[in-house]
Amino acid sequence: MTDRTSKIGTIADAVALIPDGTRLAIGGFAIYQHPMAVVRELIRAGRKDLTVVGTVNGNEVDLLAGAGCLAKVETSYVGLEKFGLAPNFRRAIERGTLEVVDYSEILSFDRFRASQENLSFWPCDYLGGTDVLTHNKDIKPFTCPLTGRAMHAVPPADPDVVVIHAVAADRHGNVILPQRHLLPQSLDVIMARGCDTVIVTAETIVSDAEIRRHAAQVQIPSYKTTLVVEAPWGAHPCSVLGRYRADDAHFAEYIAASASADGFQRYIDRYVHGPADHMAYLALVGIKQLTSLTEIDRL
Amino acid sequence: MPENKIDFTTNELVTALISREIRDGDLAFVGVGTNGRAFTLAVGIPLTAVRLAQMTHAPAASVYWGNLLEPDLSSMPADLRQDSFTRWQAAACPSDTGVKCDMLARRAFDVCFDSGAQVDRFGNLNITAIGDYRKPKVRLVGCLAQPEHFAFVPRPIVVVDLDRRVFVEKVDFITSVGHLRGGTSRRDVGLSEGGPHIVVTDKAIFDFAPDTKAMRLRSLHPGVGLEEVFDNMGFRPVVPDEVPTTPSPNARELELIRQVIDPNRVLLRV
Repeated sequence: MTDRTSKIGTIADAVALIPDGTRLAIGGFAIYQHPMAVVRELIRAGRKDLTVVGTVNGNEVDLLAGAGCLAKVETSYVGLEKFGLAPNFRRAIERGTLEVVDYSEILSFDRFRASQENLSFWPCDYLGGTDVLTHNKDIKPFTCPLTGRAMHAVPPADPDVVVIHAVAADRHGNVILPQRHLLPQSLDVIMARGCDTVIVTAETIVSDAEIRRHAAQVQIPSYKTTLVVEAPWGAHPCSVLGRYRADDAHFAEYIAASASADGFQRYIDRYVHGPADHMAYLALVGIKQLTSLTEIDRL
Repeated sequence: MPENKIDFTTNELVTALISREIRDGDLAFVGVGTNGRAFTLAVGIPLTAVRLAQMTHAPAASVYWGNLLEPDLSSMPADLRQDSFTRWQAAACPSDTGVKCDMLARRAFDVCFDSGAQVDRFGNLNITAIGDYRKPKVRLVGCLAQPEHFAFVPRPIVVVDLDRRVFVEKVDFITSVGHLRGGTSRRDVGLSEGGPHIVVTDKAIFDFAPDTKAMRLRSLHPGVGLEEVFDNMGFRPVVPDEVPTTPSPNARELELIRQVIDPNRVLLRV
């Protein structure tokens, strides 16, 4: 019997919702809690000309940039925090094969807040003098009709699709945020609010009863969710707050490989194209390595 | 070269100097930083300096770091990453981005610490790209919240090593507006008073001339001469008739830094 209220699908179903040219927002922040299982599947599927619109991006954009999936990135940061600059993103920009549109960090949040309110622009009063303005023709000057103040109209984020990785969700797409959460998890919620196609990968699909016990922590209710995919260790090598730490050894291997385009190609041959799917990827990383990262926390 | 009664490192010298710039009750923004020397400049020196201020003249000074408000600086976590230091004791851990927007735009901060790949004569910073923006020689991280720091925080402190490639006549990309083109140009583009307060380097301290807003030499570190400073800059700063020596840390400050605040040399490692 089919369950008509279930939104459960596969990682392949998720990628089918993200065709070439999609304007995509990817959850997580810097090197934390990105939906990496979906990111790797986008590369396996050979996606092209994606635009990533984000706030503070990291290894997820670096991986997509290196694999040639991106046409444009609109963000306030692409970097790997304690692991330094994002090597593949950097290479693509320096070669002129990838376009970047720079926004300041608060403004990059505000663009999603504009989408949440379904507004056509967000007003900003502090961009004067910056070269953000010099290179971004989508930001337009205007005069505040109430105060006469010189301001700038900043375009909203308006992603076609948002994909985030969460700790737990139910089959209907109610998504739980742990009690102890940070900016990365809160930003996921803001991103989801501003978009009509929201894909959630979750460490665990929990029962309806479990969700009802944690109703106060359901920050993304099912009406927002398009597709729910169970993806244990779905953020690896990133951390998931309260579930597992970042795989620093894997990050180090990634950085070393990314010193050259050839080295990066060998990395994705091994870790992305080699395994047929997410489970095969986890098998390749290995149970010993994965379990060494486990972190126990309460919801 | 003046003889130091007490030996100290340059990191300790500038940490003590910065701590004296912190006033009681100040709220300071500290970034998250990357690794190596960049981490020391963006995170290590600022955190140590604010803690030193708390332990000496500014007990009510506090920090916003990652998303911790008033983290307990009496014990530093070993792993300084956002997902680990949330377990650290703090007054609050506001995860809502709106709090960060509110704190910046409504001017809750008194001081912020920023570093950069380029800084120019008027204290404009570049952390975005070196060379031609469309096909840069070096693509850097982007903007982060640095434009907001420089727009809204009254006393930004720039911490950067003195280097000819860093101190340039004009930055390749203005990520963050300092004193823009000097004079009243910052206010003319609609920004409030403010702009970078001081620039702290490994050889000298700079501030900005009140009228022209051009970078001005404030003090030379012990043993550093004018020529050495000029050799490491792509422009000539304003040089007053008398240039004092950066005041040395005292024995008490050094003891606090070494034995109490950063005993494992995590913050001032490199």
